[in-house]
Amino acid sequence: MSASWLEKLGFASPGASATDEALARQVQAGRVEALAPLVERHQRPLVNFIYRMTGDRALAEDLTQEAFLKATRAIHQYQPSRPFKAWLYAIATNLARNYYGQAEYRHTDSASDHEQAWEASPEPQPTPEARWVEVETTQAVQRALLGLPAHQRETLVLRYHQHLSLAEIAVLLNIPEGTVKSRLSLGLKRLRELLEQDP
Amino acid sequence: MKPISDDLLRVRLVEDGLSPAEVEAHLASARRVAQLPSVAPRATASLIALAQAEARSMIAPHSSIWDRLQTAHFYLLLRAQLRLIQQEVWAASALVMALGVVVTLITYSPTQSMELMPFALLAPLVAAGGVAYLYGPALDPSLEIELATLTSPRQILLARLVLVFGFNLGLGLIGSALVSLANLDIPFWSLVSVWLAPMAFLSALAFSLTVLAVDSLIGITVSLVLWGGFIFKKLNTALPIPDLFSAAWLPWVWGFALGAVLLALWVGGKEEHWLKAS
Repeated sequence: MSASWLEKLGFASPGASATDEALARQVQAGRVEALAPLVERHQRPLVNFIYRMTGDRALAEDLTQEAFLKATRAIHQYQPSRPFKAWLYAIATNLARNYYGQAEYRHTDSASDHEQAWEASPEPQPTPEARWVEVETTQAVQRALLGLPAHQRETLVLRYHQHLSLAEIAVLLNIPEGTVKSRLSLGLKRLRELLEQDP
Repeated sequence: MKPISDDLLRVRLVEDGLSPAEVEAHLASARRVAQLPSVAPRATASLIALAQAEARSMIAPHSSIWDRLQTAHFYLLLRAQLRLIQQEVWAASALVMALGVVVTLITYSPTQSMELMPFALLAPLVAAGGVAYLYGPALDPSLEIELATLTSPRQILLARLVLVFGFNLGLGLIGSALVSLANLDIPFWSLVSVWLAPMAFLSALAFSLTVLAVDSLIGITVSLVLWGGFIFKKLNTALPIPDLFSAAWLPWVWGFALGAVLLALWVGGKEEHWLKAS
């Protein structure tokens, strides 16, 4: 007797065993508690995706929240035959794109992000010099990313930072896989040039 | 994000359509993007609470048919009336129907007419007896409360009729299914078609007479006499009364049943009629 079987009958809370699509179906049926595992699974990747897209940590948190609320409001338009993750990311990407059109990007506060990562890590703490180098490197990469056209930046971040497959990116951005590949190729070339200019 | 090895990154770059030379040229850039630190979100619990509150506010306008049904006025009325109907009605109906199934199976013979099977004879009578007890002073100790509510007496009567007739209809279908399963010579739909029209007719007659005469006994008695006549007609075809449940008469029977129910609802729904009944 699997947990998902019990969950379907309403005898168990929706949990880790259910797929995103199954949880979304439960939300559509009015089981609001199924939102919790969806938020727990996707909040962190979404915050990181938007953060790398905008370079603004607080904005990333706000837009992630907005993406989840928008997805909740539109949950009855979601078709469970399609991947939930791609649908959610598409909402977040559209929100981030609206932001590109409205304002200049604020730049990263990567130093504090590193502090947080180092504090949480069980590894030995790096020396102050090593920390400084890593912060500088991260800031340089973030600046280079922000120097890319938005469509190339989102494709690179989704592929190499979020580790999405080509097919997932194609669905999410609503473009053919061939276009994803060409954006990656051009984006990597441009990124390399920018990194060489700002080592 | 999980750290990704150079080998895996190479595989990914090849998958992305880069030539071997391009893979090596862009490996460092891709690695630097992959190694960007992952930040932890600050307010997971509050986001969950916000999303759930949003979802709750969405449920009402976009709920499923079942959700909407559960909050529909008539459904709530049915639930309320379910508690007011005498509990003996349910138990007595179920007991007599069960008895009908058992006797039908025990006394079955292949030459027996389906219309004269005990179950087919009992089912309409049980339903008629049940609906005859839906109206009257003895059955409505809470009459004043009902008249003081916004729900019209007609809706209350209709809800009771739906509950009791629906219950007996369900029992009839279950009983017929059991008989058919236990004896494959008795087809389910043939058995149902034998008692369904008489059940509707007798129930409508008993209901309307009870409401019009404000006396359950009159409804039951007339139904019983009429049903007895029908059985007698089946046993003795020479009797000079029409076979009401033959195919030729069926549209009239259904029409009469509908008309009788509407008349009873119209008359019984009048407040003064309720007061007279009390």
